[in-house]
Amino acid sequence: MDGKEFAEFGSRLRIEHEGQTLDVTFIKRDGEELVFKLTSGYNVRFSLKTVKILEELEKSGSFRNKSIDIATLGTGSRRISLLSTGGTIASKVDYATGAVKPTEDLSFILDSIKDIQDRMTLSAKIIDSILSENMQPENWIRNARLVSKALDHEDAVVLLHGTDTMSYTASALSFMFEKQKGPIILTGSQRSSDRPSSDAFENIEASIRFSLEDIGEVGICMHSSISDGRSTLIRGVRARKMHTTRRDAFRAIESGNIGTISDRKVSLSNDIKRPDEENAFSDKLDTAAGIYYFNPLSSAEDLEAFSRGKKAIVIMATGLGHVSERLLPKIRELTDEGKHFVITSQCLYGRVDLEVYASGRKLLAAGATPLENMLPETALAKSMYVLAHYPDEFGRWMTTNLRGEIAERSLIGGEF
Amino acid sequence: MPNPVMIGLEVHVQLNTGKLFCRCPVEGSDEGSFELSRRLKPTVGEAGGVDRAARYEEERDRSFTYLCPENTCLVEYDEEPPRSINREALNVSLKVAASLGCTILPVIECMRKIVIDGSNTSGFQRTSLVAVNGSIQTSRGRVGITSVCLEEDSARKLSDGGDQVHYSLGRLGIPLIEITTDPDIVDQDHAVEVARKIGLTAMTTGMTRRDSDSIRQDVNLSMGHGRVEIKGISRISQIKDAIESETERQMMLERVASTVEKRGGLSSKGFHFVDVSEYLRESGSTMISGGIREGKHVYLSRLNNMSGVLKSGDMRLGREIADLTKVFAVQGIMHSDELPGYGLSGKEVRELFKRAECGDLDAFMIVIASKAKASLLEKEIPSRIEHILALRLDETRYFSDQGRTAFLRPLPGAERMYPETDLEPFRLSKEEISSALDFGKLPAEDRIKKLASDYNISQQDASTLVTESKLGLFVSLSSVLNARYSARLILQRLPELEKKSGNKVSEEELRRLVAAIKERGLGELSLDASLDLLLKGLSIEEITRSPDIEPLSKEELAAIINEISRIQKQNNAGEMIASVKKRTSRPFDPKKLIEIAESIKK
Repeated sequence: MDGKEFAEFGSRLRIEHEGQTLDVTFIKRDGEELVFKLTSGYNVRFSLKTVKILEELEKSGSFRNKSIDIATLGTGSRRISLLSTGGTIASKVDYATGAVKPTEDLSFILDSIKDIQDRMTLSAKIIDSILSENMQPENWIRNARLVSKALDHEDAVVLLHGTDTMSYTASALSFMFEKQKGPIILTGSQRSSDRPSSDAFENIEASIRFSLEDIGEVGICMHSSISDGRSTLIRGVRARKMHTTRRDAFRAIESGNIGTISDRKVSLSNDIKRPDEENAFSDKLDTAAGIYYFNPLSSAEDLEAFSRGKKAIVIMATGLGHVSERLLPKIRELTDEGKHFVITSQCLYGRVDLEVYASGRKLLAAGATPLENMLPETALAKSMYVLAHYPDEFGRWMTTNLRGEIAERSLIGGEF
Repeated sequence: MPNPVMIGLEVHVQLNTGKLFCRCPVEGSDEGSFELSRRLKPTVGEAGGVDRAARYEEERDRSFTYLCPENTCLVEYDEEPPRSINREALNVSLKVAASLGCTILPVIECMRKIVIDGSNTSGFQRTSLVAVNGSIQTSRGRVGITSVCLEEDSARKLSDGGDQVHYSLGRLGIPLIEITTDPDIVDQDHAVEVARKIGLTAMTTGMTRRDSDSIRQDVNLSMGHGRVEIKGISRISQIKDAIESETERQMMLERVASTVEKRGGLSSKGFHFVDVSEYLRESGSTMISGGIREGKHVYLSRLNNMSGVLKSGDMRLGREIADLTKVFAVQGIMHSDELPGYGLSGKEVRELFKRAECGDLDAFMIVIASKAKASLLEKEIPSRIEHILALRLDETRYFSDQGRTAFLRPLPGAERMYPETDLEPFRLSKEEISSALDFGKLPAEDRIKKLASDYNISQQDASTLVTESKLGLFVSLSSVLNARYSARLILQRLPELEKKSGNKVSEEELRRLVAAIKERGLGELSLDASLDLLLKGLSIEEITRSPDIEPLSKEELAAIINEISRIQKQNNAGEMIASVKKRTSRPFDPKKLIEIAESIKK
């Protein structure tokens, strides 16, 4: 139903509509309507029944994408690999079908990185074409392998990723890379690159700037304010999308600020991990895990049904880490069967503590493991990693700080 | 004989319905609590091309700072996708379209029109074609209406520092109806008549915003040298000035072109910059020495065959070049027609002629600019001169404070339009279309007559209510107050009180005050008194609680009269009223006062 039975996208037509003759460009068929572009640039939609195509004035052809794709950029020695997984950041809208198509074209960032072009060579590659909400562990594993391969030959990797599940991917990559000899930076955009105000351009630019630095971590690089000109690199295991639409949606929750960029100048924080001598990468993840959001309607049956087939359950508990005592016998029972329950908080900010109130102590007694201030999504990714690598010492590894996923000090960090 | 002039208009009318794609109010003070800053990049349009006007703006490489006042939200900051369209605004645009005899489109596609001068935070203006193919009758014949569009208004520019532009977002997103005419207008007086008529038609909906720039006109003009679009004419009388100034300019350029042509025309290779900073370092020109101190350079180029056409007699090609450099934030330019002068001596000018290798008919120009700007201008200046001398004059211009038109940017093409991917097309219901068509049956003049007879007010008052965009207010006040009283209140009483106090009452405040007075069961006397208090700065809550708005009862009036009469004899009614006013701040009906006084006397 793309309208080919009427005309090719982009062909010039003379049509008649309600007694009026118009010269138009054919765009597409949409259900029972045809979409045309007038010479003024406006699109109009006419019902199939009311429009008559009189003649084709000009075949489609001049109406094509004229941009030139540039897949490598720069002349310097630092080698950076830009890998795109789809999402809105590296895409062009195909107006004929309404589809968003990924692109390898780097020409749009040419101007903004002129000053560092002689320090690096950038190459771009599309490795996947998927909206981030459709990403699953098999995608993480596939992408992680490609990132690993890239990092074996290059000095840094920038991964273009949809923002919705970016922090899950960043967490998973963090654990899968036990050692890394250069930065792995995920970036995305909150305003798609088909608009002049898109944050995509600056986010990619900032990621490339961070890629020049001696960093041995997985991070998320996005705007740090709703104004342009300021970006931040957040440790993957401490980053979270906290707003549906704002450019500065990603926040370092309590800790995890690796560095900032203001007016093209990079400054790194003291608390960063420097690169390792070599890469150590494992692509093993166990998917028998899940996040259970406790709420006043939660019941033991509910929890039992959720836990079926899973080995580790991350509970997003209330406040300090509490769940209703209705659930406690079930947690005890399932723990005895060999399942693991780990506790994070719906508050996101702050540490869980199961020793302050009786209900917390009962939850401990039922066999649950508190995860301090680990973010729930990070705890999920970590569970998958630990289940695959240290199934017999699950609790011990979950509470050991491997990649900075636990903020050791509870600092008073800005807004929350 | 000059070429016949073809003139078309674009009339833009703001609506007071609330913003188009968010739920923010149209009004709000510019007092902003914060600012944000952005850069913009042109993107590839639907057809794969980048609009030339957009590309041009990018070369200027500017950054934009936005003041965010109280009537803005994440949508204006381009931090949230647009909310659904304001249906009321859409329906008003349909009514206007129907009144102009247009065919309404049943399905409306919202488009993005790329505008990267920073006036839209998104980098585009959302605009929807609502109706096409109408016409109006005028004293000089029929004028076709090409289209009626519903757009979001742009941000208001506060200052332009060249590389840094400052806007306020208060105006961004206000619904704007754009009415475009065919080029059927015969001259400047006719243009004024057409603009008036279209404006009046929109105003009879009662939903137009009342503000100094709430109705703005663009003029499209062609004398056979391409279409020139003159933007931003906020007063109807300026339409005439803009057309006159632009036709004079084009006739002047015809003479300039033919003069240069006779001398052998323009050699495009002739233009290139030589750096003369060293030679002029010690010159007496403060513009030059100041520029050099700021790290700029002084560049010289020959202008072939252009001696005398830059500035002499009525020829002003120099100004055309200056308009261009100003767009690139370069203020420092001079040319040989105005030299010696500006601190440059005759000897220095002779040397510059020599260095530029000028022949007898050649001129030269100097530009004081940074290296980067100069390399841009080295391409832009000869290209603009070439265009002008070939009389390819199509471009976007604006009507400046100096009462002339000036260069703004190249005309945008159809490349700048692509669909708004964040919104589904709007489908109009049969009821929406038929109610608009019903409204459109009466021409604007007849609708004013009907307004007068429906509300039993004078034709004059009805007309003033419409042309001052107070119709909406009148209709809403008339639903609770007497219509004649409402008209008098809006057109006479309130303006008088405002003038006297030097303060203003907003429409919103007036509506709330009237509702509050009515709720207390009080009438017109109290309303008059409460307006006084409002203008003195009391809040509506304070006013409704105040005993000062309660009219004096018969008994209270009688008591005061008795008291006054005891002290002093009152000679006439006027004296009596004045004396009572001195003794009380509460309102009373003077007629009633006289009646009571009469009855007491008896």
